Amino acid sequence: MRETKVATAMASGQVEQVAATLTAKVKGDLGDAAPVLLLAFASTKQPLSELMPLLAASFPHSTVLGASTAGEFVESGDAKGSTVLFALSGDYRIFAGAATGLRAGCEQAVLDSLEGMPLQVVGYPHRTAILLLDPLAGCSEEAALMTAGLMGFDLRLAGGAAGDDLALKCTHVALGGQVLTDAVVIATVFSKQPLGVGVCHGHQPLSAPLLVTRAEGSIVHEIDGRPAWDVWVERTRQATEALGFDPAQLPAGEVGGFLLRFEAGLSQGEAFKVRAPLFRVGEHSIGFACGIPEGTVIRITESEPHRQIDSAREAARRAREQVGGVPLAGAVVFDCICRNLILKDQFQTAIAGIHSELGQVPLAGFETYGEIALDVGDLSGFHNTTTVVLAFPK
Amino acid sequence: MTETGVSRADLAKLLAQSLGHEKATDAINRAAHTVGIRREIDLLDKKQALAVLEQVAQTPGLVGITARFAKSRLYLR
Repeated sequence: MRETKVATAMASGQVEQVAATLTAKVKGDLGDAAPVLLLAFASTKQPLSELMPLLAASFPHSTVLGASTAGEFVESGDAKGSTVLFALSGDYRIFAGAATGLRAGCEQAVLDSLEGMPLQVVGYPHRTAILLLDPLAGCSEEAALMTAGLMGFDLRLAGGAAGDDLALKCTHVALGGQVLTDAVVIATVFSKQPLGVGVCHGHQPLSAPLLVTRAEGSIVHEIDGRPAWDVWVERTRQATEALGFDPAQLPAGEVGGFLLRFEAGLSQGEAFKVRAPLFRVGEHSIGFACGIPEGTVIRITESEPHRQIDSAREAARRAREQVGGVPLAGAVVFDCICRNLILKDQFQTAIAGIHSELGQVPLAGFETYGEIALDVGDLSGFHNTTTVVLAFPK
Repeated sequence: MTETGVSRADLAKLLAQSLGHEKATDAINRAAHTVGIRREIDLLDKKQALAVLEQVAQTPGLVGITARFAKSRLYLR
């Protein structure tokens, strides 16, 4: 069995130069080991429509996936306006598909992206799917559950919802030179050893329970019989005053950052599952990354920086535990943008915690509008405010 | 879930990860009523439990998708 190797790179600037820098770095680090899978996570400063054809041409025998981002990082640091590249070599079989039309027909889009994808490969007993999607289509949980349901229940799933540097206007995912919006990309990684997927969040409720009284799909119009936006502003007032801003006065470009700082929590008994509000719709409504049915009870949540640092490390620990404690080659990290907004300059501390927990191996990731993690037996696959770590054993 | 059946609370737990505890409980109770299971009956046999989830699965959007997924999970138990 060939040893797994992981190489990562980060670069900023003009697209051609970025593609050249990333390519040279990962080829240099991998040496003779040709990559089987590459993941490119790119700021809108390096549009995927220009970047992906260059990367696909540089790695013609590899599966290359891409997503637009709201921030990028590798083990040595994080940045805005840059691109990171994760390259994997080793004994894997990779199959991938992509499809558009998520908003109009989530199930059909998932089915189309799985067209022709094998469910098993002889000699590779473990499979993990990587799912990248456009969260602005408003059906992220739906797509995660459909993917898991259609691919079978022994599947382990990880991934992320693309970003657009907090513009909340248009996000992209990519497969090779194909760059799509309102779309989903799915890659299945067949492996000799299990991959590890760890997920954890550090949020807690800020508000009392609130009832969603009018909603359509992923758009919440009314909470407790009142305009959703007004309720969100009101119920976060104390916290936003402490942070020194008034959400009612925010320019349109900063509304997404406010909403992603104060997300919605669904009760799971003692724990909470978090749902991301992404954008204001008209004057009074709020758009989410997945369906929020009428009758749902939510609590607005918040988090302290230390909880974000602790939860990132915990996600890494859980991923490492899933591979049985064997040494790792590297990891991909899908990290909610809200964590970056909360941690600011301390974000690097969270990355360092993940890096340390994984044994100082290379890692690359991006700031998402939602994270995907579903293990065998789980009943939900889409998350917000979390860190998701996909770890590759050596 | 016990050897003798599935409680309404267990069924709601199958949906709660996606919908939250309150919405999941409400969806299960409404569906149980629709398929003719009396309010005082808490413990359902597997056939009844699957019928309840099938009823929830008719709901459009995330509620229905979650129920379809949960039904498959329950079926495999």
